[in-house]
Amino acid sequence: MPPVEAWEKVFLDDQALGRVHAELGCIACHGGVGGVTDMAAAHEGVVRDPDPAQTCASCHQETVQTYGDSLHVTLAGYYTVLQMRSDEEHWPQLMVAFDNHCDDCHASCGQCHVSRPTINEGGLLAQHEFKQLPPMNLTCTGCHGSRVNDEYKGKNQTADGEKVPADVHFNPGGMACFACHSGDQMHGALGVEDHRYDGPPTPSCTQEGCHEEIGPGDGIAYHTEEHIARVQCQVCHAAPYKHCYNCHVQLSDEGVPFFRTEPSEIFLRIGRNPIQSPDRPWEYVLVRHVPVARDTFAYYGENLLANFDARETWTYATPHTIQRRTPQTASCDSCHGNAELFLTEAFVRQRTPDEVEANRRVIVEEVP
Amino acid sequence: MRTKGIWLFLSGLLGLVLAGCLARPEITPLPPSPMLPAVPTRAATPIPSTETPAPQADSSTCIACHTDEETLKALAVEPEEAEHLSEGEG
Repeated sequence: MPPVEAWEKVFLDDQALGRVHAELGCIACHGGVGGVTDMAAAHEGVVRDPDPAQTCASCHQETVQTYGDSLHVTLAGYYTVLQMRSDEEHWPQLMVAFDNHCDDCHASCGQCHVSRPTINEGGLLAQHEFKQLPPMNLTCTGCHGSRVNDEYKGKNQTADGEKVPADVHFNPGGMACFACHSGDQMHGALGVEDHRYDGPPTPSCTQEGCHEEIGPGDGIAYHTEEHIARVQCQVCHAAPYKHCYNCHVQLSDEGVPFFRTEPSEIFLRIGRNPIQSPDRPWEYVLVRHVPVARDTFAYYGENLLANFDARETWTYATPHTIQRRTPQTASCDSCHGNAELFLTEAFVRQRTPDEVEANRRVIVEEVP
Repeated sequence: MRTKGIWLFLSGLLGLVLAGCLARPEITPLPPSPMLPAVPTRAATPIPSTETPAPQADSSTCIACHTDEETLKALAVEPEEAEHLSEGEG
């Protein structure tokens, strides 16, 4: 993201506020002291990021009512996987690490609609204009940068130097994040979720207004009943995507949190569906290695991920690299019998030898 | 009476057969990973009354300063460059 100087982060245009918000004045939401010109005195009690329940809710009650259930607020996805990989004995130590390294990844109303997210050092988006649709480059991909942004905009290349094209929804589709990821999803209005793949796909490829006509008999030879029932859409229609390995976190001598990850890799792998359900019935799905290792939190104590093998590290994935035609769609033999595309045990042993047991559920034992 | 009982029995049987035919194909999920008891996550702040917050004070001095580019440039303090110790993609 383009850098912003300190003064510019708080430089506002009183016309940008809009009539309704301007009528409230600054102090109603941010606190502080009016009528004084001394900077320190004026800022006494100022709240940079007002509590939505105390401010936004007065008009946007319906939205704020569910916003607390949003994964952007609860961070439930983090807790879910950490609960699975850890145990009660190590949980308190793990939470110390969580507070230092993970807990800042939040969004609030203001951090999408008024300013850049705090994790990206804040700064007003447009001189305090309230943006009904947050600008995706300064908000969404400000946080979801290294995987979603680079995949969606075609900024990756494979180890062979082959450029991975942008997702067709972005180019030529020109679709911003919110074209698929609705306000209801962002605002927690779809219900309490344990992680982002909890419940039916949101968005779903075949939902109303999208590819709802896709299915057996649609005239596309590969769209057989068996393929549609057993294979996730992305398996055939995604280009290679990013895998990250071995994230390790610690504090500097001065107490500054930092992390180290190994270089990422760009390729595609098909595994077995670890979260198969009526909502996601496919047997084969794409899998992505996520940035975790058995000793990710070793700085904070021994064996904090005591149940590391309880959850796969090659996880269910929905890459943002969608293409109509891919190497997988070229012919039957592109996939069938092609072990190069599947997450086999041999592949896991070669890439992540310490994680074979953790990935039993997703390893493809026999290439179809 | 006996004939009525037979009809009731046959109707019930037919109902069971039809229900079986209409049922969705069963999905055998992969064995679930063990989960610890739920850990309380961040709780949303309760939403108080829905009255629009009244302007509490005159904000004209806030506006005057924050719309004045020169004043802000003079007063703003760039934060110290944070240590960039992290390596690799986040």
